Order: sequence, then structure tokens, then C-alpha cells
Amino acid sequence: MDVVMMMRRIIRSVATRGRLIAMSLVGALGILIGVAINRSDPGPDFVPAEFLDGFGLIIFVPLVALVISTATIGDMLEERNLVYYWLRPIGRWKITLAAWLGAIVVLLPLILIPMGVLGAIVGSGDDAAGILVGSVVGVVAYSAVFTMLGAFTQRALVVGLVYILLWEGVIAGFSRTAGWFALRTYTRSALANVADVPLLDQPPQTTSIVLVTIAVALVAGLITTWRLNTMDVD
Amino acid sequence: MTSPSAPTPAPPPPAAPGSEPIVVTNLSKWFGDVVAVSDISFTVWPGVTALLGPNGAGKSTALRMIAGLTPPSQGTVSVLGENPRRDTAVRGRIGLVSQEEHLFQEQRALDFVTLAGQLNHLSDAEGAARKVLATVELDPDDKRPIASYSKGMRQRVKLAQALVHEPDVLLADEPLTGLDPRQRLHMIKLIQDLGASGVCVVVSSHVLDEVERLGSRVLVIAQGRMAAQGDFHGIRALMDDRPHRIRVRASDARELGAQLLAHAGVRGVSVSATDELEVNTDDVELFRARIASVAKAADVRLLEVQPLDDDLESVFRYLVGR
Repeated sequence: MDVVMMMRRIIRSVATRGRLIAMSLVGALGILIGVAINRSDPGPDFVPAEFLDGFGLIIFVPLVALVISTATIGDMLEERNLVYYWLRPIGRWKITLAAWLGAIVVLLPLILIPMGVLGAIVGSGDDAAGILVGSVVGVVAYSAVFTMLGAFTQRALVVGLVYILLWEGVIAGFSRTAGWFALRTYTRSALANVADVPLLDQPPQTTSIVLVTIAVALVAGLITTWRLNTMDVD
Repeated sequence: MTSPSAPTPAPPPPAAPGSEPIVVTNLSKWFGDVVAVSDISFTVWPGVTALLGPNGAGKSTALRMIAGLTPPSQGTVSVLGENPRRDTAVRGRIGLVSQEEHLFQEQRALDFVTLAGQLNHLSDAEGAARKVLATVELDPDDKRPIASYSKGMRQRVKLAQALVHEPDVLLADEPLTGLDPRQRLHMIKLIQDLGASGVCVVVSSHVLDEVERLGSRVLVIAQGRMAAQGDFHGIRALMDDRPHRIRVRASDARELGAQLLAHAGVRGVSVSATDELEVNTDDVELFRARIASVAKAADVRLLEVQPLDDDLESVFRYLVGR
């Protein structure tokens, strides 16, 4: 019950009108591009899964997850009202769980609706299913990591952008080993596996994707809880 | 001065030895090179205790360490026999009125205080929230978000969330800030009643008058150190018994200075102009009582009497430097 009560409050706090409109507009932009592609007869070289991967899993999903998830604990630290959870007789892991679940609840409709629509517009049923599965993997993993980031720094948005653009966008592409440490390897692999499209060389199998996603969420949750336990609270 | 002095004995502890609600031992806190709190020790019993000191003295840092919000750099804090930073259960027996302004701004006061009750596992959290909001003179059915509240109203919401679970220990950091005079009186009465009912209330303030009204026991913190502790009257006497510097303007400063040295408990006089002198005295009450009659007897007209170091800052500086 503690988790649910805190989660409700976190959702109301994080899902501000400004954030929802801004993120929805980005999703709508993707749909508009999809409509334009659909009407322009892209030709036989166009691979829908590649477009869904490029717009959805490389840009949209991590960006929206970053904006929402870093705000869950990050906003409370910035507004200095974390103390109203922190000083209650509850385990700090519950604060972590409430923040993470709150982020997921906000992110799922924000991400799955435009991605589902986009998948249906530009691709087949398999493409749509693939982008939805990849998005769910992304929501679960990115939200845990970015919630953790929000607990560490008030510049979480900047640090998160650096992670997305530099680590995932550049460094992870240099070698397969570096790629294992990029979340988008697993979101893209989920899309590739479901849509049966060769987006990556030797993508991880579904079992690995599930295990890694769970492990990432678990480790990020533990680190966030450790941070809450050891931090100075205003 | 690292060991605090007691100008008058503190009230006898009403609790049995070993059951003191708050025990602070050799507590220090530093942030890099800045020492916020330096080696303070004290015990707080049920009732109201005021933490008095100027702004930046270390009061808030001390309160935050007592609440467990920040770990001590050195020393220990025990609240109800437990470490407030580590023990989950003891947090349910502490109420904190923080100095921070931000609450959950988008919420109504009732929702905010109810959530506090729920997280403290009250069976009827909303009922308790309604009751405590009424106690702090806020309307539980007010539909407006907290963000629209005045500073005084937010202050009362903070007190309500700290009291909703009827804590054994209430820590309040400058709780009277932002209240109008009537609310201030009400808040003081509320705090006094809590203390009288056996709650251990620690209230920080930099205003001497507030402390006089609030508490029988006073801990004076200045420059991060314990400057004095005891009952309010003892602290007040200590402050008055210090050396005072007073500037006097009179029609004949030299003549008045000579007479004051002889008759008004004055330790030293320096004449800075024909109509102005600076007086040093250890007995300011005697000086105040006699200066008019001494001037009259010397046929000197008094133009102005002005204390030069009567502000709290200088009082605290004196207490620390003793």
C-alpha cells in the first residue's frame, strides 16, 4: 500500500501538462513522418523495422524515458520535499519502487500509443508487434536507469543525454562488447527478433533480453535505494 | 569553549535515567572546510526545549542530524534509544517541521497530511489529518492546492504533517517563521501544550522573544558550538551579566563620566567628544537604574543613551568567547 500511495503522488507530480504535451508532440511528429512515408511510396529498399528502430528505439523511447524518469526522484530532490517520504517509517526501497513504477505507468501510454500507431502505419503486424515489444523493454530498463540517475544528480537530463548520444550512439557501436552495455542493444534486438529483421549482427536472444532487462532494473533499483539510504536529505 | 556551561540548573529530567528521548554526544558536522557544528553534547527530555542561536549558527544542521537527515561527521545522536538515520521504526515516532518551503505543491492540504498519516500506517489517516488540520486552524475541506497557500498557511501544513501520527519527538526548525501575530500566539500555545503533554519538542529559533515564550529550557548554539544551556531565565541573566558598551551623549561628557565611574557600577569610561562618552559596565541593570539620577545630581543634561552591542549576534559572540 505504501508503494501505491507514493506512486500515485509521484505520477501526479511527474505527469505535468507541459511534459505530457511536449512528449506527445514528439510522438505525433513520428506519426506524421510515418504518414508521409506511407503516402510517398518509399520503394522496395525501405525497411519499416529500420525506420521504427531509428526513430522509435534510438531516439523516442530513450528520450521520453529520460524526461519522465529522471523527474520522479529528481524533482523531489530539486524541490526539497523528498523528506516527506524519507522520514516515514518505511523501507527506502519502497520509495525507489514507487518512483520506478510511477515512471513506467506514465511512460507506457506515452510511448506505446505512438509507437503502436507508427508501427501499424509504416509496417506489417510483425513490425508493429516488434516495436511494441522493443518499447516495453526500453520503458522497463531506461526508466530504472534514469530514475537512478535522478537520485544522483540534478543534471540528470544532461548526463542522460550524454549517455544516450555518446555512449549508446557512438561508443557502443565500436565493438560488440561495448554494445552489451548499451540498453538499446536489447530494445533493438527485441524488435529484430519479433519482426525477424536483421537490425544487428548476432542479436541477443529473447531469453537474454528478458534476463538483462530484469537485471538492469534490479541493479538500478538497488543502487537507487543505496543512494537514498546514504544521501543527505534537505 | 567546547564544554557547555549551565548558568542555572536545567529542569530535572522527568524520565528515568537512560530513557531520555534525545541524547547528543560530541556531535560535529563539517562540509569540506566549513565546520557547521562543533563537538556539541546535550540531552533533551520531554517538554519544550528551544535551540537558540543566530542565523548560520548550526541549529538547522543540528536538528537535521537529530532527525537523521544527514549523518554526523563525528559523534552520535540517539533518538528514543535508536539511531534515527538507520532505524526505520523510530522514524514513525519523530515529527519534523523542516525549514524548507516546498511541500507537495499540487496537493490539497488534506491529501498531503493524509498521505503522511498513511505512510505512518495510521488506520484512519484521513480522520487524523482532518483533526490535526483543524488543530492548526486550517480548513480540511479547502480545495485549493498547497501552492496557493500563504507562507503562514504552508507553515501550519508542515506542522500538521509532523503531528498527524502523534509523534513522541517533534523537531521544529523555525516554526514561527511567516506566521502573523495571532497565528504565532496560537502556534506557541500549541507547542507549549505538546510539551506539557509529554512530547519531546525541540524548536529552533534565532529570536530571543520567541524562545522566552516557547520554552523553559534553552540550548544556545553559536558558531556551531554550544554556548550555554539552562533555563531561559538563567540564559537571560547570563546575557545581561556580560560586559556592556553604551554610548552616552550628554551636555558635559567629562563630568558625567567621572560621576558614573563613582556611582553607577561603571568599569571604564572613554570620552570621545565634549558631548559624547562610551561606558563599559558589567552591571547594566545598575547602570540603567542610576544614570538618570547621577546625571541630575551632576547637573548634566542627558541627550542620548544607546547600547552598542545589544544585538543578539554580539551576545552570542560573547557567550562563545567566554
